[in-house]
Amino acid sequence: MAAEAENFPVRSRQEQQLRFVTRPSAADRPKRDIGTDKKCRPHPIVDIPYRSLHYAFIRITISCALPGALFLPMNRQNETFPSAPEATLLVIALFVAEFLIGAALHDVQSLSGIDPRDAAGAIVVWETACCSACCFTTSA
Amino acid sequence: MSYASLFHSCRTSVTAVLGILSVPILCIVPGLMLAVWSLQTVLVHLVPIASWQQAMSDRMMSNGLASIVTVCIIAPLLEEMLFRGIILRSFLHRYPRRHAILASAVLFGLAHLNIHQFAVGVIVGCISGWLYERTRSLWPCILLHAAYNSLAMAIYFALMAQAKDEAWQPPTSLWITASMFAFFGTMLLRRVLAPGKKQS
Repeated sequence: MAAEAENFPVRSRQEQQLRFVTRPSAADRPKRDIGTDKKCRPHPIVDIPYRSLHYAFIRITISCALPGALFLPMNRQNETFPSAPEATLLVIALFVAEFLIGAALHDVQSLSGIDPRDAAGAIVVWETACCSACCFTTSA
Repeated sequence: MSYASLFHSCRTSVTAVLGILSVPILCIVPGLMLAVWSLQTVLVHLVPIASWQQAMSDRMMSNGLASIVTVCIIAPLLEEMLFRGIILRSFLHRYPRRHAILASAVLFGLAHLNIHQFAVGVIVGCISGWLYERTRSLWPCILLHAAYNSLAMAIYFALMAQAKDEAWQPPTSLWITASMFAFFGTMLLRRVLAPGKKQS
């Protein structure tokens, strides 16, 4: 009985909770499978330390809210996006988006007071920004 | 992969890369500008610029500080990020390096949507692509692009102030000076970024 008490000491509820939220040491934590590629790292959001239920809840919420592409590990396949045909389509998509935004601005010119010719530079720059962000999200 | 590694995946620090390369890059910009100017003069003779195109370009440039910030800072940053950081990086994994650089430069030229800027885009894109391939850092490319755009904008405003059009021709002294700087810059870049060429 004494040996059992020594091996399984009775802890108070507060002590148990404290133990639960304490981050385990590096040796105790299970090692993540990060693959053989040195560049392969988990996304920082995935790397949230598992401490307690509310951390797990936050982690699941973020996983549901953000696109799955964000959680893809960096590997060779992701680094090779886009290929030449995909990049050509990307540039064509930029033209189309530029045309559509210009047309939309032209239609609402009387309401917004913005001349699409004045905003042409800004449209091109912001399209490039959006395109870069989308590509980066997909390839990262 | 983070934005930091997208912009700079080189082992050397950003400060060191820019410290070593900014002088030769800035040296080649005037020569590059004059070479492109000559090419554009030929292109304009072959395919004249439409009046609406010129009017749109003038309008884009006439927004004061917003135009300067857009053309000289934001556009180089974002365009280099897309065409070098994402497209060329991927192409270098897939295709031989010369094909990759040329293809990304052609796409960069196409994205400018007119034949005159297409030529500029291909030339600047090739140089920028070579810089990226050698350094794996976007900062030298951004510096080159920003310096080129800034010089082009400065010349545009200078010509507007003097009420001159594209018939202006650079004087011979400017050609000689720019060529000397370009030669010096190119030699320095080759020395730093392609040291093996001379030995082989």
